[in-house]
Amino acid sequence: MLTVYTAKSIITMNASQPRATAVAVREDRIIEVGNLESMQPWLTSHEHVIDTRFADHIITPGFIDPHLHPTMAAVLLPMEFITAMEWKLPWGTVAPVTTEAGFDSRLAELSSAIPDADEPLFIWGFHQLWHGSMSRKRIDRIAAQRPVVVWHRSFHELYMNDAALTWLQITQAEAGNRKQIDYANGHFFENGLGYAIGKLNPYILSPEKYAHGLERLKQVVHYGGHTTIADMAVGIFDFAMEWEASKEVIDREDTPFRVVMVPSALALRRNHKDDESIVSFLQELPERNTSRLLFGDHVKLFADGAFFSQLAQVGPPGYIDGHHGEWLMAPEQLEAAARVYWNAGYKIHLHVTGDLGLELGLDVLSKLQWERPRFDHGFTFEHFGFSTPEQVARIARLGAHVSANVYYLHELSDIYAREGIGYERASQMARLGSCVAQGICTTLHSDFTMAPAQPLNSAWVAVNRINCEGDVMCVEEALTVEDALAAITINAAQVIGMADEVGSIRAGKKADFTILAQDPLAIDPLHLKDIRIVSTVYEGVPFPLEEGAG
Amino acid sequence: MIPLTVIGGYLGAGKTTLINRLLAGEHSRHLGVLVNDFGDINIDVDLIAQHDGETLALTNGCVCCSISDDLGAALESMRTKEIDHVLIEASGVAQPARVADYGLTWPGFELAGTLVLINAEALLKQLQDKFVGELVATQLTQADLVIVTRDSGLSSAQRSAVLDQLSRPYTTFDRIAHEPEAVFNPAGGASAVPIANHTNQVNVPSTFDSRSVELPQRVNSALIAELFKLAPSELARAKGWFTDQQDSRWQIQYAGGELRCEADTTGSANRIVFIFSADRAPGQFDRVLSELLML
Repeated sequence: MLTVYTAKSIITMNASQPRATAVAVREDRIIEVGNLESMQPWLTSHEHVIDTRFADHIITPGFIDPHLHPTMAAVLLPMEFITAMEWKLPWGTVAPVTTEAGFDSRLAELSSAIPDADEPLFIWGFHQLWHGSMSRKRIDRIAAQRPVVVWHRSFHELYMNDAALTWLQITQAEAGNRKQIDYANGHFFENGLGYAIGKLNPYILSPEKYAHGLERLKQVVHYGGHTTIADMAVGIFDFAMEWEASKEVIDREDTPFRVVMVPSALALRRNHKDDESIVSFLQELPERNTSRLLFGDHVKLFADGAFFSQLAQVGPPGYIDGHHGEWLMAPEQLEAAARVYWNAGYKIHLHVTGDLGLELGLDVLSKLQWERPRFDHGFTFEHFGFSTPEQVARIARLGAHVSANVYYLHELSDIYAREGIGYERASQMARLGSCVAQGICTTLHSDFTMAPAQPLNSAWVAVNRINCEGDVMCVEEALTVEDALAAITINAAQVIGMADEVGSIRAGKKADFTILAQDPLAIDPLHLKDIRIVSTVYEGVPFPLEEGAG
Repeated sequence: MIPLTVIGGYLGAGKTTLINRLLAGEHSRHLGVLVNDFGDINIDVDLIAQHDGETLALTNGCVCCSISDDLGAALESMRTKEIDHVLIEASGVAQPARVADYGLTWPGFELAGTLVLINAEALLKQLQDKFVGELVATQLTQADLVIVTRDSGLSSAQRSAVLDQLSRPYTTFDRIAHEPEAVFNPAGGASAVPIANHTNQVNVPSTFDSRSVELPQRVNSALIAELFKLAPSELARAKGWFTDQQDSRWQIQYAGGELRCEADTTGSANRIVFIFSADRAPGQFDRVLSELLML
């Protein structure tokens, strides 16, 4: 039995046939793309139904996020959000809270909504710029009996009330008078945060909590219109635990997407003596594959530090205040590890944030290409914060891909211009127009929870380059809408090694679609992020979204 | 409180070698050693009492534990054991001061100090490296005590080029291996730890806590000139930066009995580093120096 979906228009992302009005599907595969007349040879020989539910809508290939972290999301999503920015979540939009009083009344509201007076409450999103100074006493005034933990928006610090300290058995005798713990204010930061997390972990990472977080992640991924994502660092917490939880929660018929699993070589070093033994481990992994959880020939490595924390390694002239970034692996160790995976035929995804990190990655790739040339090697620079035009040309010459977190530009370009590296380089972060001009396979990711897991939002940033202050930053590096759509579909598929299966709408590929209320190529690009996502189709099965999603 | 020493330094500086020596060495302490990679720890099998994957217990009461990405968890496990002193092997790319913050923050521990090892053969090249030059320079400034390794093959010119890069007290690997007390009290200063110039195997005078002297915000340039006129013959070299009473910035270099002074453009902190070639008794020089420091 064939199902033929008709649409106002189908954007195929197949250059040989860019537009269509009907797509025929059998089970999980596309049989024919065109119009009802052109597909008659199929329709006359096979039983079929014409499904017109999307007749007023636009069908695109199912969106792909080639880099997010289900594990981190599973920890964050069970928390309540009180933040200065609006967050659209499947279970409701979180309205922005931008005042001290607003924070307190929202906290009181959330606390009183939980019937059990001893149930701990976790809040995420506090920021002193909007919400004033936080303290143990302030939380106590609002919620004295219930343990309350207030996380900073950056995740780098937290506050607890009295009840939380008692619950976690953190005493004055033990944690008073320490450099990075302000016990009087219940404030834990840097290494003090590590201490608090150690106490919280049994609760946060308990199998029930974690599974609940993963369930919420499933909703978030669906809500963004994805049909494929890549977990770009399997093993961050614990490889075995993550795999078991994924099998339990993700590998089910009600999950409208698949996950390409890319193990973190750095995390695997915890349980393996060297990279050679990790390769042996990786080679066995595809035997575990299920229909929704897919290991392949990809591996994740790391160069420089977190972009949000200004720990990216930046080449001359560096940061305005003279501080330096950090390396997550020593350059020699990175090179040695990359060599092992390169020679074993793996596609290396290298986390790089600053231009000096990128420079190191390029130097390593140059050496490997010299020693043992490979074609179609799939080496991908992940995040791609700062770069130079010359580096972009070098990426192209060495045949590597770029997977960018373009949201950096939206959230950080204003503050980094003023308090990071200056306007010139800040405005040119995510140098994507040059990548496309150089013919580099270029994709966009959310790195969720670093950015909203909404491909249309990422595309909106890449096309308009508007930052959070409303300023356009370096219009020269803007992508066209066509390029941005390619970035969240076919190019993303290429980068995670699935271009033969997904990423465009043509005969033979998986029947993965995202259904939009408006044509992204026809509307004003300023409204790209506001297009309503009507439904997704995963392997031929429609998964509708509630009104208001997108 | 368990005292804690951080062992930092870039790759190849000899951190693991030092740890191997200490684990097998004579110091009558029950050490808890937290390492990044178990594979490099090399212990005589006769010494191993128990090995359970994450932890290695030795017959001499020492325990070696793998950090596995979670230094906090490793520290917590040390608190449940009979341990006199904890050593943390910082990763080669870590800033030792950040690791030392564990000693100031993690409940149950106090910071004894920070050792930074340097590979004398590689240091100058590392400092020029476009990727790690800044990191290695930063590591050097964060040491209470620098331990110089792999210097035996160097000429005296090469050795002094290496020593010129050091602004913190230093000693050599051989010395520390034989007198491990400095490991447990790296910030003890010159009075507790002989700080040797390897060329001559002599001690820095005990009047100095450190060979590096921090100067007041402004100093009288005449006093500086007077100080170096009184320089003892043992003063081999000196280099420093200061701000005079007219707010001008100067860089001084002393070598071969001559003082050179020029306008400073580097913006370095106000300090002078002295290098002595032999042990000596305190004299007039030291009195002028203390006068300078008290202003």
